[in-house]
Amino acid sequence: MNRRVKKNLFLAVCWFSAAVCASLLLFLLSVIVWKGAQAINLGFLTSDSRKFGSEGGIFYQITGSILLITGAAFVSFPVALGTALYKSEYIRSNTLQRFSNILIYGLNGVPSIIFGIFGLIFFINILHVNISWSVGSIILAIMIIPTNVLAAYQSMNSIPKIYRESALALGLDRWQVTVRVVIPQGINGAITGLLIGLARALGETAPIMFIATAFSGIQLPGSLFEPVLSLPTHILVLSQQATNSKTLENAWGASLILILLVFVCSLSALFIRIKFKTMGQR
Amino acid sequence: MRTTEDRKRDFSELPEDEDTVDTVIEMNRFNVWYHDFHVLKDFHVRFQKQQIACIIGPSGSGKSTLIRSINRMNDDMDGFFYQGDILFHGHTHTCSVYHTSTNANHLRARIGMVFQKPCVFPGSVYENVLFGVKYVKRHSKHEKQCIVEENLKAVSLWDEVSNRLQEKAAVLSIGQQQRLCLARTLAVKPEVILLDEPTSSLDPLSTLAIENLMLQLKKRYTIIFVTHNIAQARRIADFIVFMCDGKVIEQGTRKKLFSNPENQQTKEYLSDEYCEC
Repeated sequence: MNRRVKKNLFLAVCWFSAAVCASLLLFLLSVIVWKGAQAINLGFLTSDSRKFGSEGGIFYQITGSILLITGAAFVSFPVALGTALYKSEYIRSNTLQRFSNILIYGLNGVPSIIFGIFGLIFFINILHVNISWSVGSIILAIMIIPTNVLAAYQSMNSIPKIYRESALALGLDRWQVTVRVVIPQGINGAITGLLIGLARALGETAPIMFIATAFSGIQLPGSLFEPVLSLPTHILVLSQQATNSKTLENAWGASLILILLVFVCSLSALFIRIKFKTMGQR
Repeated sequence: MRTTEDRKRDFSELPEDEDTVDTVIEMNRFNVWYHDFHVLKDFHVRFQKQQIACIIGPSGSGKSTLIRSINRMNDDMDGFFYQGDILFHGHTHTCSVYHTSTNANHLRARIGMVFQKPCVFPGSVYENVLFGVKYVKRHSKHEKQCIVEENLKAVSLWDEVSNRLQEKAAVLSIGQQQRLCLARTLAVKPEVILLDEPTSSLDPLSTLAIENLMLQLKKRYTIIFVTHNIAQARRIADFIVFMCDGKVIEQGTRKKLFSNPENQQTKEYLSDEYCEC
């Protein structure tokens, strides 16, 4: 086989792989948009679900999901930012860096159902907390911390050393360098990581279904310790009642809304990444 | 434990023709290792007040390690280890640079540094000049304006940027950025300025501007300047330290080194810009 044939064959394999990947996504999206669009109207978006989801809309499921990820963002962001700063500015030993990476990647690899079971055992059985959205937010936050930490750390790590040294050479101490140089430049990476994490958290069912969500009979929670409705749980339950065609249509509608919310998070992350490049990327 | 008196006694071995009263930085048998690599070997040098001291030598001879050791920029380097002492005779008092009681951040404010590649922070020209000043003490708006004007004038940048102080510093030319970095360093009011090959990334005109600045600034500051450009050392240096393979090969006034070097290696390096260490 000569070089030109090899090159063309390699290109063809690459193109085929990319085409398979893209067409899977397009197929999935087209089905969801096609089926879901039939269910969506203003009433579907603004009304409460009735008769176990076969009638009404998903207003409280949307607000519930947004509430869950907002809570997760507030818990996850400071912890992730602190961890990324510690890794980037304070850990000098390579061994410790490797060890912290193992822990972070390990946390990232834990299956989501395990987080759900952990939340159930720890918060509900041991601490005797009610099934509540705040517990769901904490569990989702723990789940997205690795994504958040790694994005923030990479962003901070890409700041050239000369910026830190120039600030140090002016007499600033390490904390001042962190506040004046590292955080302003690394914050966009942390926000990008947070949004990517939230996009993932939005679609998670397993970690929250035992500890944070209910299927019906509630609206907005009145306190931290009340359950919420959420889109993934709603879709799960509706699809289990697939005998009713109207219910199934509503499940597709809810899926489309969920996908759109995930898209909003992902596109915001992309926008922030492009708009606010760090010093090292300029 | 060695006392300051002991250290002073050690300096009796230094060349006697130098005036110790005017000494600002004394390096006393100073050694640096990175892990097992011995970078600086028994450095015994004295830098005088209001002089430009040029450190010359081939690449890899330890020039940057030397200059970065003076204001403890090497502290965080992986595997950094030192032996010996550096004394800093400041306006108010003398301190041992590496003594546990010496605050490295305060020291760096008194011994400023400009790097090889200009590095302006995101923000305006105005904010860049004030970057280090904010942490020294609080200033009124008027005082800040005065600091910016005074230091930009000191580096001959005021005329070029006075009407664009609020513009992003990154839009300035590389030569202007380097002068801005110098202004930022001067704003903290250091006593010594360390420059690590500050003109190596600049065009000849900007290089000349920086050299002229050095000649003006030496009236007020002690300047230690690393360069691998022998012609530059000939133009601006008062005192020259020639180093090779981490050792001082020869040191002395510009006149002495260029007209009558004692060491064969110095002679070779100054004429061919090359030497076998």
